[in-house]
Amino acid sequence: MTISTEPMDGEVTRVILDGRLDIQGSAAIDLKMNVLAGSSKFLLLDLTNVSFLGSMGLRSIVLPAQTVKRRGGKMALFNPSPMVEEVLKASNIDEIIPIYHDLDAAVAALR
Amino acid sequence: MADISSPVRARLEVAFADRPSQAVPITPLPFLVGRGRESGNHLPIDDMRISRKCITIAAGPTGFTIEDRGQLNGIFVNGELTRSKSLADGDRIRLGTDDGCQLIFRLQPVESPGDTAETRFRSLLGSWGGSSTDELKGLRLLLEATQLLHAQLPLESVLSTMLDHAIAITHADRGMLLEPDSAGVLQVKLARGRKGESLPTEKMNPSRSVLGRALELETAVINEDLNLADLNVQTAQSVMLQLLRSAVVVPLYGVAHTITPNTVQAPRRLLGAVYLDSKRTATFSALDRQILDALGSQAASILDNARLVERERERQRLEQELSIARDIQQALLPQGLQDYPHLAITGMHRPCHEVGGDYFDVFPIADGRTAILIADVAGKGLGAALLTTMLQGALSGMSLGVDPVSVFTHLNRFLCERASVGRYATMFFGLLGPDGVLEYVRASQPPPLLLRRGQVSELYTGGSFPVGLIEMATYKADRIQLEPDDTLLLYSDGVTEAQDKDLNLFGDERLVEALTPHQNSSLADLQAGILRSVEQFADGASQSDDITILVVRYRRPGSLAAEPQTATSAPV
Repeated sequence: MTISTEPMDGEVTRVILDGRLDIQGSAAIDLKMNVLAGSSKFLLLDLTNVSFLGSMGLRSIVLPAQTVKRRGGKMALFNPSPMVEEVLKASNIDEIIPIYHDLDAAVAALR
Repeated sequence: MADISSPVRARLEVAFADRPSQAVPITPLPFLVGRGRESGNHLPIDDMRISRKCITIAAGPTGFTIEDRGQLNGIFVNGELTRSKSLADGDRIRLGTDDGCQLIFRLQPVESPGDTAETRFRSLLGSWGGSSTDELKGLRLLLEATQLLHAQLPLESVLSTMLDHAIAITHADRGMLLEPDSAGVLQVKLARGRKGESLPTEKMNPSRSVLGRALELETAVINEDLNLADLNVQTAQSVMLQLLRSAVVVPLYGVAHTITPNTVQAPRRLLGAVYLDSKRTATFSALDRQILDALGSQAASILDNARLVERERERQRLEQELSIARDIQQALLPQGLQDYPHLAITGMHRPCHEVGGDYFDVFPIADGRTAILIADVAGKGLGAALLTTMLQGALSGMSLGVDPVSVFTHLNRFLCERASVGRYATMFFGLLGPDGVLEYVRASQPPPLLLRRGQVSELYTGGSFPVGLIEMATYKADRIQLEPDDTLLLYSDGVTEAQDKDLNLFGDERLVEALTPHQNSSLADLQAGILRSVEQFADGASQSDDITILVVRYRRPGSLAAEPQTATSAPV
């Protein structure tokens, strides 16, 4: 599991996750995600290369999203695979963190 | 201590915060340290916090001295701001106020073949005569006896006995056993007086420089008449306070427990040291070197074995605790699942570690309905297992009759308020009445599969919030009318996410296929059939998540002519 960031226009930080977001994967990104949540206004979480999303991985996405929201910011999920999207929807996560498959739409919704 | 008349070599250990330390010989003298090479530095340090002209180390009348050449914010020796000072072995030198890099001063006597540590000691020891063999034999016998005892006795009393023998053999006033702490610094673990009394370890103040020398030479060191002039101020104070005149340090080394082929002289493993001292001078001068060697190797082996025994006991204790946890968890599952008049039931729980994060439960409710539930806590192992126990307690309270939606809402708030628990759960809670009405509340649990007249469908579609992840989550109750012989399969995601060796998942479709032929099977056969499919699919790959299955078949009590009812359920 790797995590990298890329600044975009308008205070949006694109966070690119790559790998399996299982117990080990979430442990590997938790700290960085918390730091990002505490320091960024708008987070675009790029899930294109996430091949698996487990229950602990879900937590690694939801908790930072709540932190960002409390600080007056927003988070959006970008381009999850059908399997990952299914997990997100099974937990109603899409009701609190919107999912987009179009990058421009995602960025526009954040700003 | 440092005897400047004999050839002495010294070095600086440069300890960096972010990379391994490096030893640099202090030569030539005076030896200059600073940033870059421009100022003629012999030890250039590439760190902006170090001044170009930092320190000089020179030979003085009493040994090596250090002098501040203009380091910003000054230099500190053993934590004290210093302009100029003589150095003792082991002194820690910090440059400036940042912790960027630290220097440790090390003295090292030159060992030439004709002047080994051994011969230096021999010259100190003098003659011992025939009695040394008797002493030696006595020592060995005593120590071997304690070694035999140590499996039965508490560790501390074994080590105390060992120290008492060491004191008796060497005629010391006090003895201490030191062991390295997590930072590798030797700390006094045990101290005894010559009458076999325990002494308070915090009041012991063994000479650090004598200890340091024994560790450096990796052999026993006798220090007669500790020469105050050679000691650094701190140690000298401790020596004067306690009026100590002589000391013996025997470093203890263990043998390597891991045997690797082609071992190239692995570094010896330091277990600790025995430190003996006396207020009288020349107490130890008559000690034979053989005695000290025997003392060292015997004490090391006692300490080593004792530590192994201790670790083994600790491992056994943890294993026992885990097995108790497993027994309790299994015992909390419904025992001897009994069929109710209106339903037949079977279930199983197979954790992938000792204890699991899944569980199921079945219990009667005061209003005549039966509660069936399955819960899956995020994560695995003991952490998740602790939470399942809490959930089970909270949910079992519903046998007294409480609205399940309120209980889910309460549990969600309870866990969200304690976010540092770091866990949440997915759950399915159903209440099945004799009339076949199943009322259920779901929290992100995969939909139970409904087997009706040979067709399998999912009990519901769409998502729901888990419990304990999202504070604003809400839950709702749904209802469905079951027909007689309708069979519900509740399962945890460990079933559908079982993996084969290539990490393919068992998946929903295979589960549906495995369930479909079982309309007329007994529930035990149905459950066994599903487990068999999962195992055949995994084909020997290790179980990656907890597996829990609960199977419920509705039967209308006392009525053979059941009215066909239509149920709303999503087709697969």
